[in-house]
Amino acid sequence: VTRSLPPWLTHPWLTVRVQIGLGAIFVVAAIPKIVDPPSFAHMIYNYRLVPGFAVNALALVMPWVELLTGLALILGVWPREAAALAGLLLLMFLWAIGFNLARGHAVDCGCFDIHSAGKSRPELLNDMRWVLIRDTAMLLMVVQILMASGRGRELKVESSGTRPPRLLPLDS
Amino acid sequence: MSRLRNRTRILILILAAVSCAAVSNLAASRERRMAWVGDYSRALEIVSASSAATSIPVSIPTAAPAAPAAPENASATPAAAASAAGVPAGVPAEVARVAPAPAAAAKTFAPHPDRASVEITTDDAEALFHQGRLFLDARRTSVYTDGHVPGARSFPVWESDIADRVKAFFEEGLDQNAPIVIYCSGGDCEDSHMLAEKLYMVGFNNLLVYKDGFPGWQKRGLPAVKGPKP
Repeated sequence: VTRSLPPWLTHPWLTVRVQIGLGAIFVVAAIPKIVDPPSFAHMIYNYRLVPGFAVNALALVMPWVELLTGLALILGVWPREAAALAGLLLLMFLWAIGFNLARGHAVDCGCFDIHSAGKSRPELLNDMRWVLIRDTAMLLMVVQILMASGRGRELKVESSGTRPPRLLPLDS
Repeated sequence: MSRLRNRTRILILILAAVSCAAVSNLAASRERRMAWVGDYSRALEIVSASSAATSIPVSIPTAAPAAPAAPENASATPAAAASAAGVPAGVPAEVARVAPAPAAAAKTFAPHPDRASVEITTDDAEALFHQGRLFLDARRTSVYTDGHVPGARSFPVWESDIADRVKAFFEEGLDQNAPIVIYCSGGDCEDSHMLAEKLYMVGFNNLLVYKDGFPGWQKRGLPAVKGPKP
């Protein structure tokens, strides 16, 4: 698939910027949740999708997953794995928001601000639609990183087949 | 091989996150700390705030208001005088005099052992306030500190020590059939219902959820105090 893509789409110049951008979003989203886990647990509870016993554990762990994923993307450490993890998180967020939107259950996203803004139901439902669009855009960023790293691997394999033999010293 | 390496790295990231969360939770202050296993019986139910409890209070007309509940510091001098006059302990007398008790003061709220809570209006809450009934605030400590009903005690349901607070409250030996008003932030806020369920489980039979919560209280221009104390 990656061979048929235009080269600029998987160019390292773009990939580095996408990684840093996506990583920064994840770090910014994680910090308020780490600072105040009970408020984030409240947000998760409001989604009505997580069993009661798991609400607190998810509220404690998920922000750290976001933070480490974001830092790994920014620093370029295991970017493929970090992007895959970011993709899994985004798919989970999309499902949670989409499912509640489909059943008409209005919730505060809790994505960046973990305190209820006191919005009306129509305002919340409208916000949820925007969150779906935003998370889909972020998912496209994940796809770009994965494709770029996939293409990098292909090039690596190809180049390893055509690499010229190493020049050895004459006296060996 | 490559796929195995990818999965191992993802697993390492997740395990690192769990470790960080454990350390962070251990080092957290009381307000930020949480039990790892939650205790939320309605976590998968979609309930509107109004359907979580009966919305019409059980009320019987009566000639005289009920005697005030015994707040924890009711024996002090000005507070005791205020309490005898139908004002919650801890409420300055000048604050309590700001508004006369409304017509709802003629209501009394019978125990309802068959359900955790009934919802009450601002009129009812105001009347109960002037009767000197006990108020409990189910919001976070930081929000409580920013402003609360005078005399209301803090019971933040989302903080780690809520079970200890409920246990200590039960051990105070208060009359379990006396009305207790619980409030949070109004609207869709369910914290007061959650607290009501916890108190109902230990035997309190007359829990009244003030559905408009503190925003409704403020909107009416009723007295409020700031700070960590009731």
